[in-house]
Amino acid sequence: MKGLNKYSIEHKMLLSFLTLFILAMILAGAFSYWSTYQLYKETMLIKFNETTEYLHGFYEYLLDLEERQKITTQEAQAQFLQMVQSIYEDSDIKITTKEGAILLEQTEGIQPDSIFAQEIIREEYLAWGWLIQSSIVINPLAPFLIDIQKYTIILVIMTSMIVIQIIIGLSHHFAQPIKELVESVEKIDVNIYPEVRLSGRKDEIGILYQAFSNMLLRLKKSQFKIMKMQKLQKSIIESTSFGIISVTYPSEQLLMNQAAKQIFKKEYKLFRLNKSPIKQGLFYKVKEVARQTWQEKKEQSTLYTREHEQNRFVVELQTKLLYGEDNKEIGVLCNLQDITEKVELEERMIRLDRLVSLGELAAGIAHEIRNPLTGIKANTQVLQKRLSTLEKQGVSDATFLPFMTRIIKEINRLNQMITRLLQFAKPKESKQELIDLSAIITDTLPIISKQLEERCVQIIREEQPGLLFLFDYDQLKQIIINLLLNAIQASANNSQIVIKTGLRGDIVFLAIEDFGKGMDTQTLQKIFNPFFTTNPSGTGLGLSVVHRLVEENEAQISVYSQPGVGTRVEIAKKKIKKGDTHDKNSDDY
Amino acid sequence: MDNMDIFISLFFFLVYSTFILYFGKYGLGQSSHLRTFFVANNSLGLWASIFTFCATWISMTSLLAITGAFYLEGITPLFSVILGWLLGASLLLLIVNKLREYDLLTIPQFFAKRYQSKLLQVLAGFVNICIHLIYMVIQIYGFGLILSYLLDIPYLLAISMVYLFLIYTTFGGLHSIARTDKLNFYWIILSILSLAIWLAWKLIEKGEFASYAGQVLTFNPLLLPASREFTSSLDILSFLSVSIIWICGKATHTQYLIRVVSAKSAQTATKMIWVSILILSVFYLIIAFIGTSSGYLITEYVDQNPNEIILLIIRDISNSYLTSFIFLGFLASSISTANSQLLIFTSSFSYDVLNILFKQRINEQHLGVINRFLILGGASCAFLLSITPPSTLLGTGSYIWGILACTFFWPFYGGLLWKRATTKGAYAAMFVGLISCLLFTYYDTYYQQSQVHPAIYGLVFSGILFFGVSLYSTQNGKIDNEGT
Repeated sequence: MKGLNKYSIEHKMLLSFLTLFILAMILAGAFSYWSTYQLYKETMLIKFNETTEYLHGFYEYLLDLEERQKITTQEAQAQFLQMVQSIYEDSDIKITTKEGAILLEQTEGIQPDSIFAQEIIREEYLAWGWLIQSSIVINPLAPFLIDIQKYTIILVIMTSMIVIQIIIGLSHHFAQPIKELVESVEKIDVNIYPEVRLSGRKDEIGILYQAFSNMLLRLKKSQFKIMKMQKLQKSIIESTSFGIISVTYPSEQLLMNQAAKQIFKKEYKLFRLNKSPIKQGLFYKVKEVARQTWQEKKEQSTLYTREHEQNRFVVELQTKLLYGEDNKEIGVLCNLQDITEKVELEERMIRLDRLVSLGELAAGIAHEIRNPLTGIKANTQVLQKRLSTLEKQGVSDATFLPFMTRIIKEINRLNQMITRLLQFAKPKESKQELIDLSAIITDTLPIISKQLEERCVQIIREEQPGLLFLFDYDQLKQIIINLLLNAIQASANNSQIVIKTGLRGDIVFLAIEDFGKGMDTQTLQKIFNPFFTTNPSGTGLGLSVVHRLVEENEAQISVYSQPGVGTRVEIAKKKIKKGDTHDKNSDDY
Repeated sequence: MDNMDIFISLFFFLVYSTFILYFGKYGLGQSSHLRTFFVANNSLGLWASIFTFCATWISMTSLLAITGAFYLEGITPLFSVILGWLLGASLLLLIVNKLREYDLLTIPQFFAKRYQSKLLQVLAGFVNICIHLIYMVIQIYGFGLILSYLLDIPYLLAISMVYLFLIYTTFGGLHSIARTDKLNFYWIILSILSLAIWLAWKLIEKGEFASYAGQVLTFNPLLLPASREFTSSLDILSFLSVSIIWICGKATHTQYLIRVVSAKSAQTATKMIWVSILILSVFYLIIAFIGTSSGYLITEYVDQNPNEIILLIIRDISNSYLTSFIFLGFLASSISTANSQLLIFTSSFSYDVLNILFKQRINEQHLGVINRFLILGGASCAFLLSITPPSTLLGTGSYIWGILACTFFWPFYGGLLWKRATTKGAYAAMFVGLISCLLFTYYDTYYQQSQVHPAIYGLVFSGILFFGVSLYSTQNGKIDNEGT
């Protein structure tokens, strides 16, 4: 408990009671002193008067004796003086003759030593020619009075202390519970409900305590409900994949949920932004759009796209005005959605559709071409045979034969292309099985050894042993062959190609990396299109087939390339976990 | 005493009363819980602890009896009494940390926590009640003497005024006592210094300072007659026995132990003891100067009651303001000690006795009300007993310390510092220590005076039984719980 506040109830009660009491005690003390003094004064006066009257009576008695000549005048005067000396104790007396001679002077009484002292003087002329001057001093500070008043003062001090202590105790008794109540009220805060100890009193303060305690209980319950609801709302906002940002104006204070923070972080990571992305990137864009919404009082919807090298980041940003309690605009609510994957998926779907359509078209054409081509080939072969026979007989010119051979070769090439086209358009149904990546690479490399030798290209294998792909064996082999052939073709003589396998999180990948001429972004976007090729002797179907086969086996293909540096093609597939396959021998791949 | 002197005295008395009313009020708002009431919620800071420790220590025994002893016996009490007291205080340093670990409300509660025995707590509480009641009588007697000198009023009226201060300051619990002790401490120290300066000035005025110093330094305590005040030491055995009782008694005195508990931390408590010992050492040197210099200057009070010698000397000071101021300082010391003892009396009665005996029917709120009634009752009992006060303050104090030492020293210090102390050992030590102390003191008082302090036998018996029974019961596989 802190010291007394001068405006507190206890303070006011104490001050008023103490003032009243001190006043009463001063008055009582003063009255007591005054009445004692009056009594003392009266007693002294009575005594003084009695003495004076007694002396006067004695004087008349002496005169009477003198008249009767029982005593002489001198004897009477002597007896008178003797009497005066014996009866005047507390008062002064002085007897002088007509001539001014002092016969008697007694000053043993109290002198008027203070300004409050009062002197009462009596004078009487006697027949003997004497003047009697008697006086008495009534002093309010007389020792007698002080002695009596010492006890009165002690009594006043004692009583005052007792009463003051009682007043302090009573003030405390009334004010303390109220103070405690005030302290409890001051402690109340969100989630803090101080325990109110019931005072155990049955008066108004006790009732106040009870009411306050009940009120706290109700408040606690309501607060609990509100908290629960707030928690639920917060949980909903936090668990949604949409980034939500509220911007209040004019302070431009921002509040955002976890998803929004993740979106900003993603951009920061992808594009390695500065640590303070205030004037760049999505954060700045959000603030800009929000400000625009606030100024124009109009909802906005925009796409934020950022691309750099292989990275892409697309966010859909929508803003709405926020309204306060009085239906007045208080800020802007921004809704962010990272749609990068969605956009990429859409693009892939479009590409796939295009490939499928193209494939179907090509297959139809191929089918139509293949039949007449078979006839052309058969007839050409017949012609070749006949020409050969005629040549042997010397009938024909032998120079025609190489032309025939060339025609058949071209027909074969055409046939091969048609086979590939048909393979691309309608590959055989994939039969997925667990394939050891290192093993399949080992199996595949001999197939292309001739091409490798021709270009003097060295294969460097950086494999993680024991990695498995759930894939169609023939199709994966085909993919590896196609990719290696492309890599060889792109590589310069005496260069290297790296085959890498590994595990990235729960993704198993197989990457083929060459250090050839590389591709620019525009080329990269087209490489999976059928018949697109940068090699004049190529068919433009190799990568289209790879893409198709990868899709067929539910894997992902990524190509990273930089002109003049090289190209890396990566096939990735989710790691097979125990239970994901029916292969009982599989454990964790 | 003339009229003006009375008014000056009354004025000083009124000023002191007003201060007490003001400072004492603080505690009223701090006494709602037992922990706040008994041990100030273990929150007293360093200086508050030092003030209350020293103000409680400086009692009527120190100011009246010890000063009287210095007057009569020279500097002997410095060695035969003060040294023992200060050594006793220094023993507290050994147990500060361990004692605070028990988280106590009262000191007798330690016996219940350490030895798992409520009976020991009740016994300790009962001894505390009796001892502090007698001790309060000493303070009230001193209060009455001082006030009767100050205001020139009868002793009975003077002691009845003790209610005004005692009950009021104790009602607010230790917080209130600590606050008023701050005022009391300052007033005591200033009044003692004023008296010392006045006496020094008198010595210088008479040109006898060198002569006085020479006399004090060549003082031979062995030339003094034997004294039942336990201040003179005729031989080494007597000196040792008295000193041991002073040391053990002071070291187990509840009013100092409770201040170790009420300090806000063990570090604060340790500092409090060190600084207090330092302050008290200086204080007793000043008291020694006052006693011996007044004995040198004013020789006519040799045959007076030793407890009143210093009061007579103060009364002889020609300056009424100085006289009143010094008297009020002495009055402050009696109040500061008495209210502390009244609080211990109350806490022992309510928490250690009533609370244990009627636990089912008493809750904390009841104890709060009971405490107030016990304060009234304790003060009234002490007042009634002080109508016929003990003839010797120091002698009575010595017997009280004897009982404390015999009853509590071994079970308390042994329980804190010796792991093998057992409940049975504590029982044996407390009961035998108390009974033998009472028997030997009775025999010594009414039959044959012994050369050594009678309580020394009780202390020795208590120690032998404490260690013997503890070791025996441990060997029999009954090791007690060590408490916290």
